[in-house]
Formats: sequence, structure tokens, C-alpha cells
Amino acid sequence: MKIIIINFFVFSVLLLTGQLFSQSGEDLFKSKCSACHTVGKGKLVGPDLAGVKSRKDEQWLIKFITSSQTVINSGDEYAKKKFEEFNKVIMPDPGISETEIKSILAYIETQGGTPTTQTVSTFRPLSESNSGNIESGRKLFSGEQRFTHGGTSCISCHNVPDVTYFGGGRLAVDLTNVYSRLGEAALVNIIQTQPFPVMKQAFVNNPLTESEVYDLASYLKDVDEKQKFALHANPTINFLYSGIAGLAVLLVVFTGFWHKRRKGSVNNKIYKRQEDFLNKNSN
Amino acid sequence: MDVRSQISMVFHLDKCIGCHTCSIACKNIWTDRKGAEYMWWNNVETKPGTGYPTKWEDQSVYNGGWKKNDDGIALRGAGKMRGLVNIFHNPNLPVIDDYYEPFTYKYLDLIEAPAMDDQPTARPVSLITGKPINIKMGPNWDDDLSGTPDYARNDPNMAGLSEAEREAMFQLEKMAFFYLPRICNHCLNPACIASCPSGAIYKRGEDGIVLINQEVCRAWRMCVTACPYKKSYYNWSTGKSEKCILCYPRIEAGYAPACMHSCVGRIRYLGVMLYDADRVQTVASCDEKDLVDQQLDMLLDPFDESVIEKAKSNGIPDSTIKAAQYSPVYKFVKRWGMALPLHPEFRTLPMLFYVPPLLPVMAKLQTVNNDEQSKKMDKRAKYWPDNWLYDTSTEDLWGTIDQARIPLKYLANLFSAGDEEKVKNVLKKLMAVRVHRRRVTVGDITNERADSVLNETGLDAQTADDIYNLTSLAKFDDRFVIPATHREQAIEMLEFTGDNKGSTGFGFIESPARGL
Repeated sequence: MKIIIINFFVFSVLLLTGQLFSQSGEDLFKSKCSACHTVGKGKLVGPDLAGVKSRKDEQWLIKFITSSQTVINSGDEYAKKKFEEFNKVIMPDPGISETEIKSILAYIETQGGTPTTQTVSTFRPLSESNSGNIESGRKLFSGEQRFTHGGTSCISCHNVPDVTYFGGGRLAVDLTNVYSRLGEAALVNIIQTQPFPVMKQAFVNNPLTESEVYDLASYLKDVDEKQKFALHANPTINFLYSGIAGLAVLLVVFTGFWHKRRKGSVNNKIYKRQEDFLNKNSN
Repeated sequence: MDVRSQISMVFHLDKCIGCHTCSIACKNIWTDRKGAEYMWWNNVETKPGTGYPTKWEDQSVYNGGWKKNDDGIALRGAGKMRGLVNIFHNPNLPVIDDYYEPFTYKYLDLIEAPAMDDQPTARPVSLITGKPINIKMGPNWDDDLSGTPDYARNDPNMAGLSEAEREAMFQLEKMAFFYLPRICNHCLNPACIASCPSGAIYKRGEDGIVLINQEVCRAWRMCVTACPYKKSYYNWSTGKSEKCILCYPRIEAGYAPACMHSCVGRIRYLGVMLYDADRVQTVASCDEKDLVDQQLDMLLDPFDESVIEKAKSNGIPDSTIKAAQYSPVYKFVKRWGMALPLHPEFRTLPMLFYVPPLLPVMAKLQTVNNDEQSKKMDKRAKYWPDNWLYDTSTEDLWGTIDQARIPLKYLANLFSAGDEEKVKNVLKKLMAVRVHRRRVTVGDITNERADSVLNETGLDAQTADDIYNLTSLAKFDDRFVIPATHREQAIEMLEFTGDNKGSTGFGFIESPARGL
């Protein structure tokens, strides 16, 4: 009996730490990295990782992969350069252990190849006709139309200037200039694979269909292009102004009601005459 | 014809001595509670005067009652649309100072104060804040014309009186007044019911008593605004509105309401009236000059066979029909035409009628020379060298009514929407009864003169005696003809009374040790 309990305990600990079923480097790469990176096939959202170990030492890589922003903010020149080069897209922390990172790096090494700066094109260009409908993209973004598999509409967390008067969510980044920041390929890829932890969670059980991905991408492209010529509205200021306007309207309405209200008692006049009389006579 | 029964009342103002016993009886039973101290479901006002709450009759101040418009009538200060717009901010409500701040005296200080150089006093304290207050107003502050310049001159019923008439009323030596006791009128077209957004107010089907359901009331206070008589009050402690309930628990048990039971002058009469409910709307929205006639016309003859038949088919029990036939109210209002509703122009069709007062009208002042008399007085005696006489002689009969000390216009503003003829007719009848009784008891009036007076008012000697009997000699059961309420029938509708048969009677709170 004791042995069973101990076994069970050890089993549980191993399960929790992930040691028992530790994934291979290939699986980890596919689930954590492949949304943005390739090995030898060209740029995606992030750089091609072929031969990455030859460019930087393993210790640096482990530090960077664990928390890229920490490295960038620490003033590392190379990291900064790459961050600028790839449109300042923040690489999310993957939340994996050092051993796992090592196994991923080992996997990349086995793939070999040489890095290219060519952008991979596994998608249909948005300029192609019927690859995406701007109007239905707008509806999907704003939630007027539901996603086929019932995922959360984009407006819950993201904002673009023309969705509603008061703007969309503030939880995630503003998507106004996302098209010019990421480029077509990366945009479609991100929408498709949702590499960011929160977004991943939101869509893990409700994946987007391919046509929805292209509709959204086309819409975001359209928003970006229009924004170059539009005045940038500030929803926060809109809130303030409409609040002040609403207050003014309410005050006017209240004044209308107050104006009709009885003020004081009919007896006040009587009291006043009596008090005046007493005051006059006491002097 | 939709015949219904209504408990109705007559107050005979000639008999009211203004003692406020009715108010005290009512207060002791119903409104001696926290939040209700300022309420007087029954109050007695001195007229001319501003009343309670101050200037309640002036609807330009309080916006109560109904107003005639193109479609019929509409509530002046409440109603569907206006009520909705003002529902959180009712603009016409009386404030506590329009009534008065209720107060009491710290009587215990008189007996519990420690020994001191000065006598202890009982200071007045507010019943709202509990702090000492400077009393400025009470529910009958202008009683007996005290403070006349402030109160009587502000009486809304002075409208239409000439400057000279007003001045005549206020010259101290010509002062005349009468009392106006008021309770809820239990109207046929109640503005309070129409105004209530919660539907908390209802008129009882069996006797027409208007009640506020305390469990449904949501304190919107629209009824306080809507009632033109200001007889719906808001209890600031319970957050519900309250009003006169015509002592319905007493009525159901066959007793007269407390205010009527305790009335010292025996001015109050209560009885059933049958009326045609189909005509309420047309009567309430008719021309102002026809209001009184139409309302009286709507009240049905309880001896009429067709009325009795319709009443029975409407479920009115025989006992109620019989009570209607013996109703003293029916006699005063319909048979003799001596009672008028208070402020019919509010269009609520009040079912409390008043016999207008003759006394201040009848007497007149004459200038006389009292010098001879004064000379006879002892020099040390205290006397007032007046040269006027308060003359109640009946020589110049109708002349005294025409040149009344209280202008007829004033009474007409109170009781007949400004129609002086109606008030004059009633006053003539009152006078005729007096003339007739003077012939019988004193004998100094000739038969011709007395008969001609009776004829002119359409009365005969028998009717005049009946009026005299009901006015002066009426016993309790003549003044209050209260129909059985048949609560047992209402109970039987809700539950099977046989369920309790055999289960009540003697029993044991604790079972005996030997068992049952």
C-alpha cells in the first residue's frame, strides 16, 4: 500500500514538472515557434532560425528565448537591432524550461540549412481578388457577425479607429497600423496561428476558418491604408467630451424641472411678516 | 344604469361649535404614531381662513384635482404623462412647513427637574428632529380668526368679493366666522386613485370607502399632489401615504366613525347613498355651473322599484338598500336639498355634503344709541360704551340673507362653485324652518307669515318639522344608519367556513396528564 502511494506521488510530481512526457524538440518548435519562425525557409514574423547557434552562443539564446524583452531592455545591441528590424513585434515569452529550450535549439541544429532573408509566401496575396472581403472582415472584427466556431470577436481586446465611436478594447495592442508594421505574410500567419498566449487560449477551441482569416487581414489592411489619410480620433477624449456634453444636457433638463417646482412653503410669507413686525417693534 | 352603494356623510355647519373633539378622537385612534404626527385625517378650520395645509384650496399653489379640457377632464398636477415626467421629482408637493412642524412639550421636566430658583417649564420640542423648536404654526393656528390679517385675508375663497366686502369682513367689530370640519370626502371620482402610479389606492366595492393599500404603496406621493382637499398624507417614517379610512373597522362592526361618534354638536350624519356609476364620467366632465345639479341627479332614489331591481342585480344586499331608504344623508341631500358638496369645482364628486351655516349670515349689526343705558351703569362698573347691536331679529327676513354679513359669494365659492342662488336656496330653507318652529314654540309669528315663508321655499309644515327633528332631536340611530357590511360573505368567498366548525371552543393550552 505504502509503495503504491509513493509511486503515485512520484508520478504526480513528474507529471507536473512535465519531465515524464517531455516533448521532443520538434514538437516544441512546431507548437511554440513555427507560427513566426522557419528554419531555412525564410522570414516570417521573426527571422529565419537556420544556423542560429552559429550567430549567438547558447547562453544568450536561452536568455533571449526565456524573456526577449528583458534582454532588449537591458541594452543588448544585437537584440535591439533585431527588434527594430522586425517591426518591434514583441516575442512572447514561451514559458518553457531551459532543458526544453535546449532541445528546441538541438532540433534547429539538426535541420541545418542556411538562413534566407526572403519572405516566405505560403499564402495568397491579399491583393488577389476574392482572397478577402473587407466588409465581412469589418463585421467579424466588430462582432456584428459571429465567427463560425464561436471565437471571441476581435473588438473585445483590440481597437481600430473606425469600429465604433468609442473604440474597441484596450486589453491588447491597437491594430491600426498592424498591416504596415508586420507585413502581409506575418499578419495572416498571426491571425491564423495566434502565437500570443492569451490569444491562443481564446481561440484554442474556436479556431478561425481560412476565409475568416483572409477577411480579417483584408480589413486590417484597409484600415491601415485609410488611416494614412484620416485624422486620428482619440476615443479617450471622445469619452470626456461626450461626458461633459451629457452633463450639460442633464443640467438643462434638471433646470427645466426645478423651475416648475414649488419653492419653500406658503407660510414663509406669513412668518416673514410676523418677524419683520417683531423686529421693527423691538428696535 | 350601474347601481352602487356609497357610505356618504352630511356635516351640519350650523351646529358645529369648533371644539375639535372630532380631530382629537381621530388623532388618538389613528395618527398618534411616528411619522403621522403632523397628519390630521379630520381637521376643523375656521372660515374665512387659510386652513390646513395653508391655502389648500388654492390649486395654483398645489395643482390638485381635475381640470376640464377638450377631451373631458384631466388631473391638474398628476396623471399618466405628467406623472411619469415628474415621478422622481414631484414638483407640487406640500412641504412640512405648509402643514406645520409637529411638536410636543417636555412635560416630564415639570416634575423631574431638580430644585432650582426658578419654576421648571415644559419646553416645546419638535416631533421630527426631537430638538427644541420655536413653534410657528399648528393645524388650527388661525382658529377663531386669531392672526386674522395673515390668515383670513389669504383665504382663496375671497375670490370674486369686492374690496368693500372684504374689508367689511375684517373690521374687528364686524367679525364673523364659522367652522369647517373636514375629512376625506370618499369621492366618486377620486383624483388620488387616478394619480397613483402603483395602483395602491382603491375604492371599496361594497361601500365606496377609498383606501390606500400600505403594502402596494411605493411612496410616489402623486396622491398627495392630486387630492385637491389635501387629505392624503405622506408618512415620512414608514414611507407610505395614508389617509382617512372612515374608521372602516368600526363601520364593519356597526359603529359610527370615531369623529362622528364623538361629535359634541352632533353635526355629523352618515348613511348609504345609491348612485349610478355609469354617469360618473359624464357628470365629472360637465360644465362647471351644472356640476352640483348633475352630481345630485346622479344619486338615485332608493324607493324607486327599478333602482332597487338594478341594485339587487348588482349584488347590493337588501340590508344596504334598506339602510339607503332610512339614510339621513339621503334626506338632507336629495329629499330636502339642503346639503351641498365642498368645492364641487374640483370635479372629484365628493360624497361628504355640508349644510351651509346660517348663523353668521342671518345676524346683522345695527347702530343704536346706548347712552341712556350707559348712564345707568355704576361709575366703577366695567362696561364698553358700544353703539352697535348684534341683531338676529327676523323682521326683514330675506333682506338679511341678501345683505349677509358673510357675503353669499363667499359661501358659494365654498359649496356651489360660485353659484349664489344654490346657497341662497338652502339658507332660505334653514331660515324657513326656524320661522316655522318659532311659530310653534314661541307663537309670536303669525300663521300667514310663517306659511308664506314655508311656501316660498317649497316646504310644508310636516317637512319643516322633519327637518327640525333630524337637525335638533336626532338620536344616535337616526344620525348614523350603518348598513351591515356582510364580512361573513367576503370570508366565505375565500375559504370554507365549515373547516373550522367543531375545532374551536373550549380547549386546553396544555394537554392534561391523563390525555384527551
